[in-house]
Amino acid sequence: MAMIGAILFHVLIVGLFVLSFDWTEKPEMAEAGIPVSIILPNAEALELPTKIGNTEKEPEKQIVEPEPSEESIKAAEAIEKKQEQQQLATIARQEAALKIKEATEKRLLEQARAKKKLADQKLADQKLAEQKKTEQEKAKREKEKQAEKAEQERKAEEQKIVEKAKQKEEALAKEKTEKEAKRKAEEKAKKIAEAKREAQAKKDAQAKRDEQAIKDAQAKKNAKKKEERKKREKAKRLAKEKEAKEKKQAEERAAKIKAEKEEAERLAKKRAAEKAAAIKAAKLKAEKEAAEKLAAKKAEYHRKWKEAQEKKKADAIAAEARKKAAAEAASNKEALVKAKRGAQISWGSKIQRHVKRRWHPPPGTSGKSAKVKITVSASGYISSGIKVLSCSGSDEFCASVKDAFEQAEPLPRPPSKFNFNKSDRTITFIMD
Amino acid sequence: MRNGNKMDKVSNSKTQIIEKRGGWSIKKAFLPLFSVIFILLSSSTYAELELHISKTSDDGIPIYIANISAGIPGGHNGIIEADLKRSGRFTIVNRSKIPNIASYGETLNAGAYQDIADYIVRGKDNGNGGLFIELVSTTDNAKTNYTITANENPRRPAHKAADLIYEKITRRKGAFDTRLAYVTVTNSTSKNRTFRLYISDSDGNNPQSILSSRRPIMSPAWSPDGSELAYVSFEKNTSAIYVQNIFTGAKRLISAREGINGAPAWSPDGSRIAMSLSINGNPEIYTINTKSGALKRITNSSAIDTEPAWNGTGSIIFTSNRGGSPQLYRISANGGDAQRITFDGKYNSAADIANNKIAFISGNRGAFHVAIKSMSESGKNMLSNGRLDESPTLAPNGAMVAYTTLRNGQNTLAVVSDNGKSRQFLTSPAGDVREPAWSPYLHK
Repeated sequence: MAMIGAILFHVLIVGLFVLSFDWTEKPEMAEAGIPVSIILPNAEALELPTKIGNTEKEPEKQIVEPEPSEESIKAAEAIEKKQEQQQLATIARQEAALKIKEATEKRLLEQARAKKKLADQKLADQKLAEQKKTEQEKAKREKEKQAEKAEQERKAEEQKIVEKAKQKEEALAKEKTEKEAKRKAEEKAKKIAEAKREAQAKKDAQAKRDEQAIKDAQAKKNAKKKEERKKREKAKRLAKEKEAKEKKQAEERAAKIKAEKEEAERLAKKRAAEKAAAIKAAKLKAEKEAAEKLAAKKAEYHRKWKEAQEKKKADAIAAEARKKAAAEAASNKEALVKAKRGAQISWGSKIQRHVKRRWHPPPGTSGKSAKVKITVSASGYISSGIKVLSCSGSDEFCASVKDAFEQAEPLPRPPSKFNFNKSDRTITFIMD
Repeated sequence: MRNGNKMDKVSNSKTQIIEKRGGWSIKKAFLPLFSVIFILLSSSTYAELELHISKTSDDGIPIYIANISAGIPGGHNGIIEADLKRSGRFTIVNRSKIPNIASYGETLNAGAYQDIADYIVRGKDNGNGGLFIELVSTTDNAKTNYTITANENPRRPAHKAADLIYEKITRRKGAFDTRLAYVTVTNSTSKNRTFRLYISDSDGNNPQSILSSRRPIMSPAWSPDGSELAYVSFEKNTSAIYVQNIFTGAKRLISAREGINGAPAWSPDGSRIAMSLSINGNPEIYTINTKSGALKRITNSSAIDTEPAWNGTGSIIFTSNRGGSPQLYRISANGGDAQRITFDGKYNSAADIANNKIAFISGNRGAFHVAIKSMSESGKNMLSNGRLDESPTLAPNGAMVAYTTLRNGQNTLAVVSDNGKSRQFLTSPAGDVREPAWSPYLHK
């Protein structure tokens, strides 16, 4: 519906536009805002001819044209005028065509715009509808929310009401109870009051009777009272005396009790003091004994510790002494071993030189070698024979090795100081 | 081994101690220091020693020779010292090291000098030209006494004493009381050129000419008993071999065959003389029976065979160029095939044999040196260091080699020990000394 309305509205506008348009009005270019070049595609044709040449310089040869006649000028002007008219007509046509074209384009543009507007309107309507729908939904949701809220509120209200009612009921019940209680109390009070009244009446009657009786008895009573007062006074006096006496006695007793109490307290204190002193003494004694015991224990411990320390010290000294002795013994032994070894080497080198001086291998035995082992006796003689362990030379060479030892006997004696054993006195020679 | 190397080794002799388990060595020079280190490192686990003895050493047996009467120049002690020193087996202890030693006959505590000398020699003239000699070992204080009778040659008792000391200590016979024979040439460039055949003591002293000639005398060779000399003489203008008694001067002709009659050598038993003859134009080795004169050709080759030397009585060593250069060969004394025994160098000749050793000349690059080798070993040791050393001759015990060497433009006598440790130049008469020959042990 809105669509149709919009179309009709546009048609109406177009109609108004067409009717109000003046087709003969020449448009102002500037106003139209259309470029001249577009409107006048043959603008070059309208330009005036340009003089070609150097205007600042005088030509070397100036060409002089003949002067035209008046007729020719008129004819030319007529032609020129005609051409001008033709041009203006052409321009008018062109302008008309342009206007038509422009109107057409404008119409088309308007139509397009109208279509677009319609489309936009449609779109806007759709959007509006959607918006409405959304709003409706929103409103609906809001309404629902409100309803829900109202419901809740209602419920709450109801709850409140219920609660109020309940409270009211309770209050009523309470009130009723109270009223009942009040009523009962009133009734009770009434009854009591009635009973009181009756009792009062009775009492009053009785009082009247009593009053009479009292009055009757009053005289008696007064007399009696007097008598009694006297008695009472006497009794009072006696009582006072008794009381004073009792008081005195009581005071005495109290004093006595107090004294006894004080005595007892004193005794108790004394006993307590004695007890405390005894306890203290016992405690002191115990402490003293404990201290003595501890001191004895400490002394014993100290003694034992001292003994242990002394023992330890003695043991350490003994151990140190033993260690020192052992080290000394080891050192002595080592020194002895070293000295012995040194003596052995010194002796060995003597033998070495001794044999070397006597060894004359045959000539031409370079590279030949032998290994000989001997054991030297204490007197310097070879005790176990000359053992040629290996010999790479000829018989003559090997014999020369043996001969060297034979010649060398007696060898330097081993040092007697170290008591060399057989192993110490055994030497292997490599002879090369 | 080259002689230079030998000398180097001698001077750098090494004495090492090797720990059997430790496996390290001690140079002699640093022995005290190393000993201390060793002592510090050693423990009781070490027991047996292992020592090292090198062949090369200039260290001889230290011996102290006390003054022994001075009846002759230098004294007997001087002769003994020189003899022992020449052997290359002893180091003579300077007398100043034991300045006030007890005289012969006085009590001597030799053990007190153990660190100075192994032996102490004391002695005295017995009043008749003889000597009383006492050899004391400082090791065990053992004493050995000798009585040496007098001799016409007053130096001989000292040589005999040296021989006895040498033998006692080395258990090898000494060869100091021996002789040398050699030829001298005087006026060699004039008409008065004279050749003389000399004999002297082994130390060159007491030279006596037993023959002189205007003609060349060559190649003297001792008879085994030391009473005769065989030699080559050109007294008849051609070479001939004679034998001459050194005491009586009597001589006899052994060979005067056509061609060369040269290089006589007595067999050890004296029954034969080997020589080089060129009967057929080529020098060959022959033997001639000294009694019957029977000649036997030993070698038979187209090469020059000469300079025979007896190796025992069964074989002869000679020089031959049959292999292209002069080398030593061995051949049976009855002839047969010869075996080359020298292979080292291009020149090996002039062999002399004693006590299983061969002394010979070994040439190398124009120099000729005395070399020595064992008959049972293939190697050799160079002994001399001259440029033109010639005619080596071994002492009968093989412990020394006499040879001639060029000295101050003249050949002179020199003796070197077989171990190369000792070398001495001997005194000799005037003239150019040639072809020494060491006598055998003397029996008279």
